[in-house]
Amino acid sequence: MRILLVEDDPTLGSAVRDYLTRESYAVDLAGHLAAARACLPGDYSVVVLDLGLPDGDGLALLPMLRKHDAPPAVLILTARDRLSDRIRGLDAGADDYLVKPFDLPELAARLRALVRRRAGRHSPRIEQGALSIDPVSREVRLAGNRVELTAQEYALVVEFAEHPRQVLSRRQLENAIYTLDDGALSNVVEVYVSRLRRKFGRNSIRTVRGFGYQWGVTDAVGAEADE
Amino acid sequence: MTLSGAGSLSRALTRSLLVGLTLLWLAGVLGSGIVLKRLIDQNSDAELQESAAILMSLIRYTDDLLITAAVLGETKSRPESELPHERFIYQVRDASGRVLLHSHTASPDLLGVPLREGFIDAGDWRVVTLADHANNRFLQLADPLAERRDALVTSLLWLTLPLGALLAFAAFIVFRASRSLVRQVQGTAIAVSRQDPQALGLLPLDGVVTEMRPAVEATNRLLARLAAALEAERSFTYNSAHEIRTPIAGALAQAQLLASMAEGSALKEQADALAGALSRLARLAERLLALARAEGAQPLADDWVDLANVVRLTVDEFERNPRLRGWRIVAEASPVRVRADLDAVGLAVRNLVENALIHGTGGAMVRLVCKRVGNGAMLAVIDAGPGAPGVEVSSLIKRFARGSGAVGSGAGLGLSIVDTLARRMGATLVLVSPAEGQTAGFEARLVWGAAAAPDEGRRSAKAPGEHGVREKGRPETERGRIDI
Repeated sequence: MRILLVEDDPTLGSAVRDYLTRESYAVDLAGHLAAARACLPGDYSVVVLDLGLPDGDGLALLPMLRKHDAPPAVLILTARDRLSDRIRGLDAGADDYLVKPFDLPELAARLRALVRRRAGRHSPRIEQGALSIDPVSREVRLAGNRVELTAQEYALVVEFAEHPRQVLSRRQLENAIYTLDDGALSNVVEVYVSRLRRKFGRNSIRTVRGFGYQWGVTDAVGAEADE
Repeated sequence: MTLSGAGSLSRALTRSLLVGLTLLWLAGVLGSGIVLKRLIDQNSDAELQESAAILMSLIRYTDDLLITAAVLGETKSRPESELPHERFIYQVRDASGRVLLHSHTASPDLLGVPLREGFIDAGDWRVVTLADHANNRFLQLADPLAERRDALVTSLLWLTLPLGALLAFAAFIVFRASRSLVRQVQGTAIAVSRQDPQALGLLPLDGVVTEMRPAVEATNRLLARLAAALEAERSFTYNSAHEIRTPIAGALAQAQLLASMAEGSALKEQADALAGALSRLARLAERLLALARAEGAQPLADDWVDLANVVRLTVDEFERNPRLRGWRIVAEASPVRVRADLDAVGLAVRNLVENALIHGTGGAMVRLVCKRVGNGAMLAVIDAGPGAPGVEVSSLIKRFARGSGAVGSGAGLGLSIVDTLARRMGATLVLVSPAEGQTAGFEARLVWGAAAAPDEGRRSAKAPGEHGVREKGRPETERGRIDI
């Protein structure tokens, strides 16, 4: 899952970015409004938005976000703790509002809740056929058996699980695992898909030529599996 | 003119003007009296002298005045009533003072009048003496002083009598004029008194009389300065909160990141301790910032606030907190509007809920209730915890006070902040333990003496004249309850 973090304080911004990265999110950090605008449009699932930015109010970004076909969820992360600020932020279209200082685990939990709500799920667990993911412990099980994954592998699995039966483009999968700064290799998705197939089964991910990848198909359907 | 003490400006002005007018009039009458007396004396003396000269010319040609006197004396035999009124009396004396001739009503006062030409007052008479040195005779003609006095008094009386009517008329005019002027002053005074102390708007200059305009303009300048000072304070509190929160958030985030990275290493314990200390620092800073805001001077009763809206937003805020997943935070909110400040009510309710979460362990449920009560309104935060012993309830609002049974990590500032906010919003903080209708628990209630009518406050966000202010009585401890 890709997150745009708009935060002008470098100490806080880097800590949040690194923490969320460790949580297997792909995080782009923008230190001001102009940088955030430059990042958009991007395939972000969530925008974590500070309000008091050096070049303007973070709320100014919301109209731009609403123009997207699938606008990302917005979590406002601000030092403005007044109820009127909160109302203004939520009325402007934000999905959640968190006041600084905050606990990083709480931020991560709220992000998970946001994504869950967007996906229309009520349970924090992601269940997809035999696949079960606990976003809190980041434990992934297939048919009840635990599967050990790296952060990037986990991010890819979550991305597939969040979009059941959808064909995900390579770019979409890249966005889920790499930030703008990472300079992803051209075949990085193929590498990780290959690793996941080794761990979840040869036909766990189907390659749809010209479009991307699809999770959860059977061996019979996955005759075109890419090797 | 000095107006001392309280009273009607119009009445004092009228009274002062009437007293002044009366004194001025009386001074005029007195001056007129002096002039009149002189004129009356001059005229009467001239008349007396002229009469004496005529009489003297008659007497000068009368040889034997004694015979004449004898002849004239016969008239005495006539009844008094037949005598013509004699305005003057006279006597003719020789050089030895012997009376040769006199009018029959001659007064004995004249006997002592010296034989010297000129005027003299003798008893009730004004006497003029003329001398006929050739015949060695002296004529003394007297005019009663009473007549002069009567003339003077009558004149003065006629000068004084109109004073009453004049004063009545002047009183009417002055009172009317002063009422008109005072009404102008009252208009300004009413504008000042209707001034919403929470809004701090400028006084209107329309219709203000010229004399009052400088005072109103000066008041407006003061109000503008006050508003600017309050705005500066608000901005400072707001900005400093931002400036403090962000670095604390940065430090806390770095510490928590470090703790997560140190998982399984020897540094984990130290990293957790650092993160914990920063968390406590963050909470304390949060409360101190809230206290600073609560103790500011900004108006906190200048808007209509729907308490149900605040309750719902607060519940939503806490429900989103993943750390409170085990808690039930319930809203029982009926729409009711009070004169308050949205952010202040929000801050107060948030503090009350945090207080309930810290001290209300064991119940794992917090109820937020708001409803209309009579003409007023109440917003209560009720927990199901052990509550506070009755003797401690009153002390809980003291800063850094914590109940003896406190198990949470509160700084002991929450209720103090709420109490300060409540006072400034014209509300009352009522603490009840055990909670009403329960055998345990703690109830913190914000009570407003006045609430908007159901449709009032929707029409105007800033209807003047209603602030929900109520009197605050002495603390009364009863069943662990105290009205602060």
